[in-house]
Amino acid sequence: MIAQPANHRVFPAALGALAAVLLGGGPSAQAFEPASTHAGMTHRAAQHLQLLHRWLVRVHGLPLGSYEPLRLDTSLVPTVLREPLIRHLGELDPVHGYRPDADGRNRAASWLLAGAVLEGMPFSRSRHHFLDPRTGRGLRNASGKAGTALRLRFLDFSEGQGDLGGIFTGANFDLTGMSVLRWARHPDNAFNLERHLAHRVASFTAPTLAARRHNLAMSLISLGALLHLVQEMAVPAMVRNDFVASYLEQRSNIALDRASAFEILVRRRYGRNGIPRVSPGDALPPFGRFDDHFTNSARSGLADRTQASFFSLGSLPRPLRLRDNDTEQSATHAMSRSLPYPSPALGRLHLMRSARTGEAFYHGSSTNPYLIAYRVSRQGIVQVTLDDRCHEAAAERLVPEAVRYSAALLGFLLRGELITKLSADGRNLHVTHSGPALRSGTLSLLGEDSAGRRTLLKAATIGAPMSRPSDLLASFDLSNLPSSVKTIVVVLQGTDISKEPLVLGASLPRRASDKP
Amino acid sequence: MLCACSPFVHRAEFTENSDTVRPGDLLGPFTGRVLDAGTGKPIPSALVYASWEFVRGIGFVVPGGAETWVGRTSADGRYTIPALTRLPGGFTRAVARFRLVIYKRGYVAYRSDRIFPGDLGRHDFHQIDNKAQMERWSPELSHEEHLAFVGGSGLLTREAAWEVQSSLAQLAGASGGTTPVATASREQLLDASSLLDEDDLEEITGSAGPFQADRLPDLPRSPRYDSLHFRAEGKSQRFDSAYRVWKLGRDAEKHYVKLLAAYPQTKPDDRLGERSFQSQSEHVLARVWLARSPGVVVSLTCGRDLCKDFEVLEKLAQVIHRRLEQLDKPLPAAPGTPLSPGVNPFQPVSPRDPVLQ
Repeated sequence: MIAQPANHRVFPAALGALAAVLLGGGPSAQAFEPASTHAGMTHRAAQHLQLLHRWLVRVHGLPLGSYEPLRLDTSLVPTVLREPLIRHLGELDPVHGYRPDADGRNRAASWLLAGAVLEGMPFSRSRHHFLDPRTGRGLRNASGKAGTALRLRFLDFSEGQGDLGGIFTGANFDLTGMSVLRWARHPDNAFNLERHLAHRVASFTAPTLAARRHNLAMSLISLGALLHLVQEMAVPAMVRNDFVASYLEQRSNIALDRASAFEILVRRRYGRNGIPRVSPGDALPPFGRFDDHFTNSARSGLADRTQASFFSLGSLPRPLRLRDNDTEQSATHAMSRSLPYPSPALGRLHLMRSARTGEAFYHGSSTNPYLIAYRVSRQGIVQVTLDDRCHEAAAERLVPEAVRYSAALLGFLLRGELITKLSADGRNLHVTHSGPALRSGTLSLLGEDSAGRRTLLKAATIGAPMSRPSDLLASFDLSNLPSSVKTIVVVLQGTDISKEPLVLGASLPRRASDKP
Repeated sequence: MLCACSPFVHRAEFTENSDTVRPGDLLGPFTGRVLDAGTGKPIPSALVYASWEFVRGIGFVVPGGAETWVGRTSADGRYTIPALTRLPGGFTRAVARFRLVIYKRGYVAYRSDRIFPGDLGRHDFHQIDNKAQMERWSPELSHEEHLAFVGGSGLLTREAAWEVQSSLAQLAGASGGTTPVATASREQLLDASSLLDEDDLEEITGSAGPFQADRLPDLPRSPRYDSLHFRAEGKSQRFDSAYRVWKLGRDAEKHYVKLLAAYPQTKPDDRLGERSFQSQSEHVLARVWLARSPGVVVSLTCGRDLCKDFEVLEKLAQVIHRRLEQLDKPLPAAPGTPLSPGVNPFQPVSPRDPVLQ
């Protein structure tokens, strides 16, 4: 929120930027580039307290953790997803370190990063990355630009997305999209939450080691994709229903060269490895629900915070022609009425001084003095824009936030641990858990033989009363297990006290004395 | 309007050679020599991994494929990368970037776009007759960060695979609860805030100010690093000035060399301290020097509207240099990492300046 509006004179470069906007060749759009920025943010989230590395070592027993090579077996990928997945993986630049080799092998952490990039491929997936936290809606074609929509549909088709019919029916990108929260769970999303959890389960329960490794790789891809979604909430345009103004600005005289100055600024400034870390002492947002990381009733989700504190190019105050009897207060009031969102609010602007001198000013707060840039033209029109300094100020605040919320979401999705303990005589396996209290679920006991094949042996249902951490979830009698079982595996599929789905797994070697 | 049937090629972020400011050709060819930064001797058989990144999309720009070329340096450290001939197809595809990674065990990898450690942007890469100076690996560096920096796949990944075990050992050490950041927070932080003040600035530059002084936000203050940014209130960044101080002891010279490689249009003169150079871009002048006795490197930048020429900048630098003895306290015991991850040291002064990025 803006408590103390501040005004700063704008440097000459900003005047050019203002002019560029007015001439239709504006300077900016706001988005993060998948290949460097999303991958870098995801890398930093995974690095925080070694979240991913420790999870892979402890839960999956992979000694190399993040560096464990995992092979994705494309023959196990559903037919409808196989071709686009292979194609998009092949389109990643190997120099970034997350493109698999020709055999489908990649390090575990690289699969996570690849997922964060794949979520933006093809580019029209990003239509579903919008969220207006006030309404819960996704991208709407508020501008009513039918021609632009038709062009985008055509290009969507030309890039291998959609079909020819979609050009005319609007089934392709028609400047609308579902909300990011719906997309995260939607069946059309190959990397949705449900599939992520299903792959997590299969990474424990699939019969062969190769299939389990494949499913772990797939679960990491979808995990990276889900982190990409929350990172988008640090993009003002994504939370302010702003596609056309923020994303379709032309960068050169080539018609299709439309990209984001903000994106380029962030990429050049941070690269992939220069994204700031979360300080180990920093408290992460402690949310108990997936959606809360995006938006929640306390307005502390990333989308809530970004929408309330930053403008996007398409949600700025509209130009206002000053009348003779206008005061700064009345003009600011009139401009405020044109704002599509209640915050950030406009404080008093130095309109009269700008009108007198032609100077441009910055306006913002003590925490961000460069929220917007504005000036009054010789014709008495107040024009507002976002220039490079505004983008820099926004990036300095939003990039670390995106990393913090990603780390929080990663911690949330990897929360909890199953704890297994053999009885003194080795004939019973007691299962408890750490993490959130459980509401319900199924606990499966699997046996793994010396060839690495796993088979389901027993299952137990967990119901009311709710199980708190350290409560005994189940006790399995091991006395009748087949002698071929060398390793015991326990998997929990359930929901926690917040009704959020949860998958936990653990394995332990069977002691020689346990065998009949 | 929609018939942009062949891909377009973005402007290269590097120059054609060291004698020109003309942008290079992103498609190549590329030539250069790989040298040991310490001895100046050529490094033979280093892995040379080149990649052209394609992008596609409108508004949302996403990966659109890549072409790679892999080879090794010759006995005299030379490499020649042929020009890209296979261009991507598609309505919205473009050749966006070229990156070169050179890897040799025992050395810090060389990338054409970034410098390790610290992830500074590199500005001394050229398309033709490039001189890639590689520094010997130093034990205090992080293999985890270095592997991420190297990236790559295939042969490059295999060549760097030996670092995985070292990285795992470092991760295991960190999980014991002592991370460099946590350790640093308990040490005494470097205080370089009194080396220059607003009065000095106004007196020497003739500016009426006022200035608002605060630390630069991109790199955290640490026992070995501090900064100060004089922000000209209500004026453009071209009226700003800033300085950064690294107190690195024996590592100071190494860091100086890194900055020399990272800054644009450098001109060494060694007139201040033990070693020094000037640097400039369209909007900013810079003075960087090494003072060996306290083991300090200072980078002073000044917008051209505040410092009209290098003479003014030199006067400011002299003031800072005279006061460096204030920093002459014992170096903190714990080594930590000499450089915090961060960005181009120029950037807070003029991050939007393309010359500096």
